Amino acid sequence: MAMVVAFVESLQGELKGVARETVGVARKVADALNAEVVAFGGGRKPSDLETLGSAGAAKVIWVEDERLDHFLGAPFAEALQQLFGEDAVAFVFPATRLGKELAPRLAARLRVPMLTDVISLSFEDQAVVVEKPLYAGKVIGTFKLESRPLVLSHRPKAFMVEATDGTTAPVEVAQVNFSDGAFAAKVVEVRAKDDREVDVQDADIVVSGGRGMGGPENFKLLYELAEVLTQRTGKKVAVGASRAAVDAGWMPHSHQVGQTGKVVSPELYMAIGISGALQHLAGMRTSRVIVAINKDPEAPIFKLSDFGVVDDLFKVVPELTKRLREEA
Amino acid sequence: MRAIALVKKVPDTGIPLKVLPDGSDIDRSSLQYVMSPYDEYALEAALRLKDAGKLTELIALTVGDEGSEDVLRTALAKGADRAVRIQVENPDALDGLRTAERIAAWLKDQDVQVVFAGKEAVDDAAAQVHFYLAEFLGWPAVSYAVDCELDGDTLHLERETDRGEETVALPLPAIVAFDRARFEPRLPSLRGIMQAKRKPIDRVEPQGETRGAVVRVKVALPPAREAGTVTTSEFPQNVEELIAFLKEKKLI
Ligand SMILES: Cc1cc2nc3c(=O)[nH]c(=O)nc-3n(C[C@H](O)[C@H](O)[C@H](O)COP(=O)(O)OP(=O)(O)OC[C@H]3O[C@@H](n4cnc5c(N)ncnc54)[C@H](O)[C@@H]3O)c2cc1C
Ligand SMILES: Nc1ncnc2c1ncn2[C@@H]1O[C@H](COP(=O)(O)O)[C@@H](O)[C@H]1O
Repeated sequence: MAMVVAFVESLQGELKGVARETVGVARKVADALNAEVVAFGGGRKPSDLETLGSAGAAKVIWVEDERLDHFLGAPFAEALQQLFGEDAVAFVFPATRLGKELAPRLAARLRVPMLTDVISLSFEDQAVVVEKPLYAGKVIGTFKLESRPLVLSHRPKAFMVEATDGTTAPVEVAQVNFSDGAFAAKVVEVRAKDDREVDVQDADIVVSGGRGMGGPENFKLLYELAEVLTQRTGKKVAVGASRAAVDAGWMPHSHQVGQTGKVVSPELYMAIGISGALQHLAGMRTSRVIVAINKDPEAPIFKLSDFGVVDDLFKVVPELTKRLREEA
Repeated sequence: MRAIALVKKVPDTGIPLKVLPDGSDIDRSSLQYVMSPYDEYALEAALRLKDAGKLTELIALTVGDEGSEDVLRTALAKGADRAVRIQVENPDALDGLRTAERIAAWLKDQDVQVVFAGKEAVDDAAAQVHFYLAEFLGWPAVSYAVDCELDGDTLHLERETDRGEETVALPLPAIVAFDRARFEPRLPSLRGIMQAKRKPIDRVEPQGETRGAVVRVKVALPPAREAGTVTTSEFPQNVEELIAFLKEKKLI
């Protein structure tokens, strides 16, 4: 049977939240092309790979090699070409940093064009028709592509994918003959984050703070809120920041949401002490529900929030945390 | 050591954009154009290496029509030594594969050790060209750089990943694509602008296909988000209303 390859991303031996979605998107493609989904990944091996079966994978192929744990695309591209280059009709990647590197690398090896950061997808005969954001999210473009294999990356959280039955997928370990060139780029130093915080792109709920937070110490309020939300919902909750807060040195850049930060579409986005500049909106306007807390009733963020609270965040946030904790 | 900075002319996305009624394109009648912001950071990184005496020549390169020479002039005014335009009449009709093929075809006859690019051009937000180019040339490439340094025949760059900050070493020749950097791009000086007028722009014919296979069918504004409820109730009533809202949406 024809094969659609889903690249499943992992971090330090754990599948990322987006992995199941990538398999789900690949399944949509596979249904249209009359194919089955093979989930592929590499690095330290996660223990729950077989559960990708319930997301739609017919099997999982893993390359167990710790040199793949470095967020470098070249060896993965080589592995994908060796293992599937001849056979797959399509490759689906998450539009994460690693996925966005891998997709064009593989497409270059296969000499085909590709589509980045797709938010919807359907088929018209042989052509795939997709939507993707353009111009920093201000415009949505519709594109058509007929080439095979089809290579695309999907925006995390843009696709609602339903779990199928609880079937498990068989997991195979594959060997790849890497060239020296695959490891030409070398990570020489990692200044690891001391915690294992949820990445804003991987989160179901993002609680973001802006200049209104007033200083780095006050982000503690957001971490406390994130913690109760995690306890109550069992979901992945991340703390985000506007560029103003990042530029001020209050939060690391990896937390920045927006045009020059990360693009997120969580179930719930809370903008706290954030005015809602165009460049910030570019990073969060596709969130399912937006809540804003801002003391300025004229703040532009209220124009697109589903629920807004006009008040001092230093009153509202602690009270919200307290009540949620009490109710739990 | 010779380096290339890839620069692309794009609409300024800091202002609201409109689309034509038939959806064939964005409304270009009142647009401002700029150098793609991440290309600005990459160019600045290259200029810093040049200022430090580590580059002998910096060439700004664009694939585009005559109008796209604006960004080459800007790059020259900031300190690039010369510029090259690979001439294509409709740059929007090129996909990442085709753009990178054109650049690779030109680059293979040049003695270049480093290519600087942006992590993505803000118009198509494709994040493709530098990685296609890396594979076509067989050079190592890393994106999301925030700083870099040249040390003999190694390029050291700083980047951020999901596990923290990292230093990555690339043996030359290599490609580096920049995110928003740790430094701000310079503005061209008056003297630079004057000097740029005398610096050469080479126009080269593209080799091969100048249309891509990715077809843009239409563009549209994203569905407008309706403003929802905004409560001006007194504290702590407003917090209660917020919690009720979150419950109603089944978020908590
Ligand atoms: C090329 C470019 C790229 C950019 N990329 C990004 C990006 O990726 N992400 C991004 O966020 N920005 C980006 N920006 C910056 C953007 O234009 C804004 O400057 C930035 O988003 C403002 O951040 P802010 O909302 O936190 O700050 P401000 O605009 O200063 O807003 C602070 C808000 O906090 C409110 N406030 C203050 N005190 C309180 C209080 N006690 N209680 C409640 N509310 C309070 C104020 O009413 C105000 O609305 C970019 C800009 C450019 C030019
Ligand atoms: N037409 C072009 N001319 C010059 N450089 C380009 C062009 N298109 C893309 N690039 C470079 O490649 C990077 C990624 O572009 P893209 O793949 O279009 O997102 C850009 O930031 C530029 O540095």
